[in-house]
Amino acid sequence: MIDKKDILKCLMDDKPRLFAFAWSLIRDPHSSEDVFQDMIIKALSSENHFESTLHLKNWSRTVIRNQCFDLIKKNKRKTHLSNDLIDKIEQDLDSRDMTHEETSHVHLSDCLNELTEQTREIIKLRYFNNLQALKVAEILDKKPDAIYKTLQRAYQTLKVCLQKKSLLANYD
Amino acid sequence: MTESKQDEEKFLELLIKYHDDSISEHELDTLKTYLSSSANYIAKFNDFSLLTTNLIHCMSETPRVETAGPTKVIKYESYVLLKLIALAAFIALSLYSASIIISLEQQTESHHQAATYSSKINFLNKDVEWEFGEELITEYHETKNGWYKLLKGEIQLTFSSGAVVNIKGPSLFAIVSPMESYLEYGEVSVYAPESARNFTVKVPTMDIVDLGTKFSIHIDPKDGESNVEVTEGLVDVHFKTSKAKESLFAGAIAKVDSRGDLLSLNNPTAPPELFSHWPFDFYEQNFTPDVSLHQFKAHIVGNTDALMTLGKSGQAFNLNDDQYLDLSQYLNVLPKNNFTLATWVKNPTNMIFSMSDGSKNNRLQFERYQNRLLYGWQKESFFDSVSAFVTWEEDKWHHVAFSLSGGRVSLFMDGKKCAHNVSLGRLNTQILGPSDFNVLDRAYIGILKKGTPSENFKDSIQKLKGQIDDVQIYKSALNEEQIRHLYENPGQVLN
Repeated sequence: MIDKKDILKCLMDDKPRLFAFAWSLIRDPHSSEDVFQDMIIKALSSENHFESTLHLKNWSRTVIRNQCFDLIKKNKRKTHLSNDLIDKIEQDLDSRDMTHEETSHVHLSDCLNELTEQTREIIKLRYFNNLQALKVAEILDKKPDAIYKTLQRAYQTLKVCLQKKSLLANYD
Repeated sequence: MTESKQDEEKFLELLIKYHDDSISEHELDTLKTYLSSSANYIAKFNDFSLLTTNLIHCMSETPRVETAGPTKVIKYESYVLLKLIALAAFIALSLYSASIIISLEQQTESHHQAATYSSKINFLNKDVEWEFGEELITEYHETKNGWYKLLKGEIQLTFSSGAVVNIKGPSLFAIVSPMESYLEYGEVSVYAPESARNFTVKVPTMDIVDLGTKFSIHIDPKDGESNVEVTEGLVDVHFKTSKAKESLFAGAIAKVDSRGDLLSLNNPTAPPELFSHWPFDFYEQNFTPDVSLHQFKAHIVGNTDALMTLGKSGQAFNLNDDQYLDLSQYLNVLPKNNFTLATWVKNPTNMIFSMSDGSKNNRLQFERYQNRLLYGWQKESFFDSVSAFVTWEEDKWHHVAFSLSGGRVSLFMDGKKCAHNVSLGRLNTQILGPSDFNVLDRAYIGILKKGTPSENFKDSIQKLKGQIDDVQIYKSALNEEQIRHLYENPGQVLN
């Protein structure tokens, strides 16, 4: 049996994986945070049911997945992935070594500085402010395609930059 | 499927659209085909999710405690709170949590390491109860930097900067440095003498900077709502989500919800502080005097032959041709955060006041725009503005003003508010003021210069082309009552 403190530590350590999993299913950072936090509350209120960290990990993934599906249904989204693909995505995430996540966060901040101010603005509006590319295009008076292209180039630049900073473990 | 560069690019494009929720069903089918074809694409899919979630985290502010502190487990209630706070605050908290959750063994080890002390306990009342481990904390002893969870009772800390902080349980707080503490929930009150000016209490939704005063903050552990009350002096509140700043004066009470949105604000007005006053009653050698104590005389540029005209109060300037007033030499001393400009105009065509770097990319402007009164700004990529529809009567003097404070702007026409305390422009971007720029090198009355005139850039210069009288600039954001006083008493100033 694992206690509250260990439950919390285990889930917080697993957060990058779980958040990315939720984000890739529901594609909304705010809802992803909600899903993650709801899961933690459930976990802490039912701690006696976890016999091991493995049990907790499996449970957390199932809860996140079900909550994401509920949200997808609630929002009547037609575009979602099949269960088979979601299984594969989950397996791949679980197979990753996430020990360098915190370092990658620091390096990513450095890499962001290598982008132009406008690209950073686009990234901020798209991912941090959670605006759709169409809205970003409207705000910046650009065509949506130009925003998609900029995001594509920015992603590639960041990836190369992170690789240069020897963070291949997470991003390659 | 063989992975060509083209495939990779196509896959990335689809991924971006998928996460943007703008992918078509047909495109989704293609994405699924890629994902089903190889584990490599699954890995790339996750690379993308991880990097973009990291980006979201990177772009939020992350408060840090310099020295790892003790080591409390945030309990269930804290996570109920977590559920209710906004994304930015949560990201900050979750990063904290990683450092908070340290095992008992690690805690024991930390006792052997050099601890950092920024404060000592002045008193603890008798019913003080800690979450755990703080039995070592006694009166008159120094307290290590780090996290503390006070379950009940009250304590008083004196920071080495001189700041005195009272904390009432239940509270979860951190001592960060001699000039900084962090409150997750609970109640603290702060007295900061001159030596502790800029002492900061950070909370999940905002940073509260004490400018030599007394204030208190209470954060409800259940719903995350914060209540800030200023007893004496002045504090600056920097909101993390909106990046706006609000100056709170003695007697102010601000309520902020768990997402960082201002629910209510009762903020007594700052006393008006006159920066300059140009009555335009006369000029000498291309300069017109500032009759305030500062005596910042304004430089008249252009033909002065027909400059003087009958004004709303005494004489006025006729800027119908190429004339304008250059205030650029005072840029360094012009108000930055709290700013009001009030003036009288007759038959204005366009620009009343502007600040810029000479290009269109960095500028602030206050103008008549067709049938509107408009305050606009541009920093790099795009122009945004706040405006109000008003009635411009021909050959009539109109009193116009804008006031800026805490990332908000108000517009006034003939003594009445026409846009009040607006925090976002029409494109939903934050209001910018002089403090948001460090490249502005010119300030003008009656003109905006935003580039070199050319065939393709005909509006590179925008002029007032009208008459102007009695320009007053204040280092505070005047309220409607004060503006009305100026409207009803032409030529007078507020003191």
